Amino acid sequence: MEVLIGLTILGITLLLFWQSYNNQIQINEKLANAYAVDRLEYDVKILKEINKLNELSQNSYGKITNLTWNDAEFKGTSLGQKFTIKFK
Amino acid sequence: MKKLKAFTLIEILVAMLVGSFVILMATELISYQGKSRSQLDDKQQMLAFEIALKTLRGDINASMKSADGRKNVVWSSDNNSSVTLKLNKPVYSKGLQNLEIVTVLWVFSDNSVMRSINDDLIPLNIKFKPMTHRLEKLQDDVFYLKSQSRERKFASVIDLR
Repeated sequence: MEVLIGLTILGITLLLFWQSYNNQIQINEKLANAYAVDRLEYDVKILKEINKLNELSQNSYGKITNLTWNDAEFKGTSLGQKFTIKFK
Repeated sequence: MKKLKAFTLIEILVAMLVGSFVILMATELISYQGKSRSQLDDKQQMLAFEIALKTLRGDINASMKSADGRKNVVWSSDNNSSVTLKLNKPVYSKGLQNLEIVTVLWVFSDNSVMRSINDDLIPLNIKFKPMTHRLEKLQDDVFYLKSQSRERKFASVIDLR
């Protein structure tokens, strides 16, 4: 009985440890992606201004997908959330 | 006849079962922890690099301009491996209660990014997994800083107009 209680406590501790690791990984990933969107917005506006939007390195902005653009706006998806960058 | 005190076969089997379960869990945990640690390190490095790029953008946007109106940033790029940028920018000095001009030096090398202000003796130095860095010219005074490790790519426009 004592061994089983000990093992249960060990199991719960390991689970919490595992969960904290996973949460830390997810938070870092979300933060890095938020910075990547910010970087993309800055870069896209300059590239549009100098008419070099086609030279955008699309796979250099974290987990950002479905990039499409036209003369008025730039659209994409970051970690499942859609975002739009409007050109002036 | 004196009865000997000992464990029964069932007790020994249960003890072995519990023992093997604990060993299995410990092995799994050690292996998982190694993987998680490397994954976490990777994400932390990614975040640190993003913050470094954002700080660089801030430095460039605040940099002093030369007489012709372009930002006074001196750059050099060494065959796909390192990039150096040097600029002057005004900062508010608490001690002097005034604006002072500081020199900011950025060095993107194969395993670190360094930012030093006024030749710091202990500059900010972020260590990374091996990366290559190159500066591509998009047009006059606009460059694309491209950094690449084995797993990831980063790109950031450097606007010196």
